[in-house]
Amino acid sequence: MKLKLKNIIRGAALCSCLLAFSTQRLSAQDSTSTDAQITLTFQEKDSVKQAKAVVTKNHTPLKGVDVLFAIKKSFGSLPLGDAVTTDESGEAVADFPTDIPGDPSGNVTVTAKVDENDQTGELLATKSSNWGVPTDVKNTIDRRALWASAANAPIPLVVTVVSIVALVWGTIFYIVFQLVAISRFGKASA
Amino acid sequence: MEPVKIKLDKSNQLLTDLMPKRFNASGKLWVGFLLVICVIGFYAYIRQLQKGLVVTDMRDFTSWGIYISNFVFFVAISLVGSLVSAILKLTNVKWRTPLVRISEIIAVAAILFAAIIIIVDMGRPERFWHLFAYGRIQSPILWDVIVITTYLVVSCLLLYIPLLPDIAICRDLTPASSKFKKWFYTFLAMNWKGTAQQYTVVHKCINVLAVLVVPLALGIHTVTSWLFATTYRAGWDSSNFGPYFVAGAFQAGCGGVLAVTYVLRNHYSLKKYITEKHFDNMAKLLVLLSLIYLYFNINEYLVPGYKMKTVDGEHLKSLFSGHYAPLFWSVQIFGMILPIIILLFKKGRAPLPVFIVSIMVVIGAWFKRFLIVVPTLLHPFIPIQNVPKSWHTYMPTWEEWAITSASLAGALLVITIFVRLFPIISIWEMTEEQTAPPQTNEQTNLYEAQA
Repeated sequence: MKLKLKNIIRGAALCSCLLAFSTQRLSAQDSTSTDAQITLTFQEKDSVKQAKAVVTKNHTPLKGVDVLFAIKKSFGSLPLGDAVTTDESGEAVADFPTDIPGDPSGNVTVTAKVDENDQTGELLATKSSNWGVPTDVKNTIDRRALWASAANAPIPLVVTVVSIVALVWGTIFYIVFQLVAISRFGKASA
Repeated sequence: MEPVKIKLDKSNQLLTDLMPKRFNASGKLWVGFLLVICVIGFYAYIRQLQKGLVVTDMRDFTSWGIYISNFVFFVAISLVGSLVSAILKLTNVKWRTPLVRISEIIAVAAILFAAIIIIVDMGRPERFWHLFAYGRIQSPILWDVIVITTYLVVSCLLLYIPLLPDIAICRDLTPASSKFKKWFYTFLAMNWKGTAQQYTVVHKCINVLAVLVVPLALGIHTVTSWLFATTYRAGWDSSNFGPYFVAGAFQAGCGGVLAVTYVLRNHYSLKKYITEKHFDNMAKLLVLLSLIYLYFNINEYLVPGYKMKTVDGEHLKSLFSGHYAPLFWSVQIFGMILPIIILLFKKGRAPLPVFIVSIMVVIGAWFKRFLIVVPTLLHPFIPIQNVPKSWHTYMPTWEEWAITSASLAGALLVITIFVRLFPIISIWEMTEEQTAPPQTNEQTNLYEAQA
């Protein structure tokens, strides 16, 4: 019994240490992320659409940070050219192409990302814009096709399968009724 | 239609010869043997249920192993019901009568265990009903579920309806003291009194079912072949697969019925009814079916072999000269070439050689399905890499062998119990043949037997 209690106390002490350690680490990470910030805005300059990212640390603009602009796609992202380095005012600007397909309303999601950097760590800003080309994507899953869901099976296939099943099972039921008739004939002759 | 008059006394030799008999010592031993295999298989399946499919050797690449090979084998064997009871009937072959019931019970037992083995292959068998509830009509798997269920029902009807007059004989000859047995036969006989109306209905039902079962039999194995052929894989990607499977199924089924017939003939002294002529005729049929199957085999291997596309080439090399070569050539030689050669000679068509050949055909048929399923899975388009070494090959575990053996034993047990309970040769149809005037050129089996 004594041994058991001792083990429980040891276990509790170990857990407390681990908890304290992990909390400390977490707060350290939090402080880095609050120090450095990235903001993403859109602007039009001489009728050229641009995405602008501003990188700051403790509210002071950071120079020489590489920012990678990209557009989110269904799977992964489409980079908007090479990384752009921030200037004295902490700004990095990328031209926004005019032919990026968006959703039916032309909305696209733009990201500005700073990969692992000594001063800032990893930063990411995401913002939506309606600068994309409105695109109405036809969903092939919603069409009647062999590869579609059960509810969208091709009509000729459904008709064929149902007809064959109805014909064969109709005959089977006919045979079962004949079995009932055999029984009835037997009762009648008794 | 005139009712068949069957004398229910000891003077009727047909009753003495054909009524079901109690198991003798060897019969009991046989049943015990099958039961032991079934129990071991059941234990293995319990382990599989507890631990999951990890107890098998099926992994990412060989996701279909001997369970699916066995399933295809059972479906193939089941086609014999339609061959003997429908195709030979519709082509007016008179000598088929003593073989009809044997074929039908083989068909029922085989298709029943084909359905069971599919459930065994499922990692989550309790979700089996999802196939019906959430199945996609576009999927050949759903077509297979539909056609197997339908074929099972039709085969049961094709076995049961011609059995009615014989069940009534069993009912009438069972003493009142055997209460359960009497109730059992009375329940199954469905008030059979042997009236002209009842015989008319039975004949009508048999004719309708005989017509119905032929496209169903072709359908069941064609759809089973589509499970493979609709998948773009080396060795399966073939428009020939439907007829290839159907031809193989008729050959395997014919071998199966000959093997079972030989055992029953000897064990129950049925030589008077199942004559050497039956073996001779069925052996000739087996040669024909084997030749057709050989033709499809040549097509299946020669055409891709001529082109030798990368993955097809690897697959064919593994069969012809690689890892699977000993099994492949054994199956081709013992399961097809030798049977054709032996059965071409009259002496080869005597009952014993036919029995030996039919066993070769059936064993060959089982391993042939293994060769269709497994080597293809081990030759994917993207090379097997960065996986444990054991995933590169497939060697069934003892659980897989035990469950598969149990399914085979189970099918044989169904046939054995059926023979114990019902006449394996139709008494009323034999009586009908005896009383009917002999036909001009076609002799019935009894006249042939007497000759």
